[in-house]
Amino acid sequence: MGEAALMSQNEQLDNFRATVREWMVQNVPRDWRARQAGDNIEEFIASQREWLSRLVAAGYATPHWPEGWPGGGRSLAEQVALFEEIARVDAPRMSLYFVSLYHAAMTLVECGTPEQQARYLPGILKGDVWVQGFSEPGAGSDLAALKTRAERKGESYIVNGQKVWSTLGQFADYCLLLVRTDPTAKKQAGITFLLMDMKSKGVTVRPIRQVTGDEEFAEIFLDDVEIPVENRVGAENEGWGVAQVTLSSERGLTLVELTERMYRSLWRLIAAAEAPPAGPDVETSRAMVDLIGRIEALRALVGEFMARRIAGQEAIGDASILKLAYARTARAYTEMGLRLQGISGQRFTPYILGAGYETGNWMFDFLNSYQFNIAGGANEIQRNIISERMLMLPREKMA
Amino acid sequence: MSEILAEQSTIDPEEMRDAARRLLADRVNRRAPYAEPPRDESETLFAAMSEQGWALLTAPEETGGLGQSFAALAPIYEEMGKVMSPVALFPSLASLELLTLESASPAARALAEKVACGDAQVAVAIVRPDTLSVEGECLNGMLLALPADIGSDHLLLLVDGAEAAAWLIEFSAPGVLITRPEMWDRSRPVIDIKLEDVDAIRALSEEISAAIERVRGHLELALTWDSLGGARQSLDETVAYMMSRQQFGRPIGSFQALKHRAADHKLSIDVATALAREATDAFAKGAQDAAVRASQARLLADESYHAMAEDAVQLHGGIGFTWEHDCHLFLKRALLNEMLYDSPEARRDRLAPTLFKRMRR
Repeated sequence: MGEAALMSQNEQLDNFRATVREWMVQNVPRDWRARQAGDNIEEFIASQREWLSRLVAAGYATPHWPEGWPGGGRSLAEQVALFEEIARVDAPRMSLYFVSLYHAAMTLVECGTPEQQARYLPGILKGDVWVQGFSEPGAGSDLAALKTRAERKGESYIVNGQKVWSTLGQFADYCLLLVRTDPTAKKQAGITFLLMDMKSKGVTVRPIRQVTGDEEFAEIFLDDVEIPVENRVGAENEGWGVAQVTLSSERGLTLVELTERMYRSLWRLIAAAEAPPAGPDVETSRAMVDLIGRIEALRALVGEFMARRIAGQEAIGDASILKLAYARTARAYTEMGLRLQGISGQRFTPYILGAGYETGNWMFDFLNSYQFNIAGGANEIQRNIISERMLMLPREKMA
Repeated sequence: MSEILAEQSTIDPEEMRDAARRLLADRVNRRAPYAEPPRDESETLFAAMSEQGWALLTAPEETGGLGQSFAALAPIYEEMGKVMSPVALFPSLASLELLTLESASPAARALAEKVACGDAQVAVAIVRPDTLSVEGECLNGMLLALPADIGSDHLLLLVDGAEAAAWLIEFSAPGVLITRPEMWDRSRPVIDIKLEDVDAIRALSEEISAAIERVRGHLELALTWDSLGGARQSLDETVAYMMSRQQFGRPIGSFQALKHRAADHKLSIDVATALAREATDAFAKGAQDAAVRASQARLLADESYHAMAEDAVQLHGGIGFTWEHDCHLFLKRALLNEMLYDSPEARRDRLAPTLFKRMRR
């Protein structure tokens, strides 16, 4: 690339960032945290819908979609800038729609048929909620051990089994479903990827109440659910590869946003540490120095990672380093907040949904931060990946 | 002078790394200081470094230097950490941050020229005012365990605080008593200095605090990269051992209880490296808070080195506890690195007000 082209690309990025910043300042509901504190989940859903429609209208919900869709065709660098700006102004997260906008949409864009794309993508912009039906009670870290069975009968699959940890599954319209179509094949080889209408007969959804007391996940029970063959993504028994596309669809942007949110809400910890009358003792202030350093280091790491990804120079295991680094830092961060509050941190106070792990309700954030340490490949799985694929240590003997 | 240095106006840090790696591989035997009796190979190593122009790298061009930013030095310091170089070099190079200033005294600038050519070496101390008693230009005090290469002949004594001062003291001056204490770590030469009614020369008389921060930033970053290099080397060697050591009929590196620890060490080294790169960049650009960022980076780097080197002994088991094995070389250097110039606690206390201010809403 010539220097002039590079310059104009940087200018373009700066311009985009400035436009986003201005829009955010004008459009982020100013006191959303205060207003949403203590909202029940239905009220939360309503405010998420409202926020999505604003983002779609501005072209900021789907910058990663192909050109032709609202705001589509943005570069990864621009998408990073967008999420940084979202975090900077402390806008609500797109929690309810993240699976729809990223996992579902990118799976459809990259692996779906034109008919599937035409049928489902417009609905996503209008607020259709998609969930993942990947994990099962017996298939968590070992996802490929999934047992939900699909048998072909004419032009349909008949599906029986159970899925778990589907984000906000009780509000979902559609499900990205992994099923076993060939029980005789080796684990990954017999899996097929289906799109399921949650209103289908035989689908039962039961919310899971978490340690925080709210219900952000659900179990999905499938009894003789009929799914048309035209809803299959990719070929039969080749769903594992499609699932990899689904899982890599967010491209690190979640961590860009969450890290930036944590960094930009460090003031909450400072305020808690400096609270009168005493102010921070020596031990606290030293611990804070360490924590600030860790968060700034994490931010630098995220920056380096995204720069490599944008340049197409990502290395195997990079994503695991980043996820584990964030997960551990998020726990340290929320734990510090909780500690600083003393006994009043143990007093129940209303919390808000739809933020990161920096709502300022430290007990809620602390409990909630387990999510990142367990979901999407628990810390222990990331350590396996780092030690086996980066340090090249041998695999443990399989049972 | 090597070809790399002669040909380019901005030196590629990675080329510098390659050159450093080759030189150090030829010249450093990390067991030498631990031989009985110890073998001191630092003079020939220092001569080779000078010949390759390492001291000239960051000296300004108008003083005959190569005018490179700190970015060219960082990989050298990292490689020196990997081999546990018995020449520190960084005190001399850090002193140049102040001695080469246009506003520095003639004596300081004359010394700078000699340092850049390898004809003089400097130890640096940054102390609080209560460490010294000063009457006019006559100093009394005691300074302990300062890193100082074998050929050091000057002390740059920096007094931090409201009445900052920068003193230059020749080792040969009357009243200067230098001793070389035996340390557990043998890879880093250090000195104790007693000053008894020593006549010192002012190295700088304006904007002293800013200059002290430059020197401090250099020292902190040099130690940061040394620690990161050592930590990574210790990790590599530990992982290699975990592959080859067999127990219960399989390599111990296949056990999750052990490999997960290795993964955590890699993680903390990678995280510390990211902050070190950012701090190096800030320092190279002369950012105002560069020294603060350097100290932050050092805290993380030293901590990851300490943890790695400490766990390396445990992961090696019995062999790691022997004198013959090299685990203790890393451990001793890591523990020393962490304490040089001040303790991590003192560093945190120094940083706290600035960081709190930076993060306040």
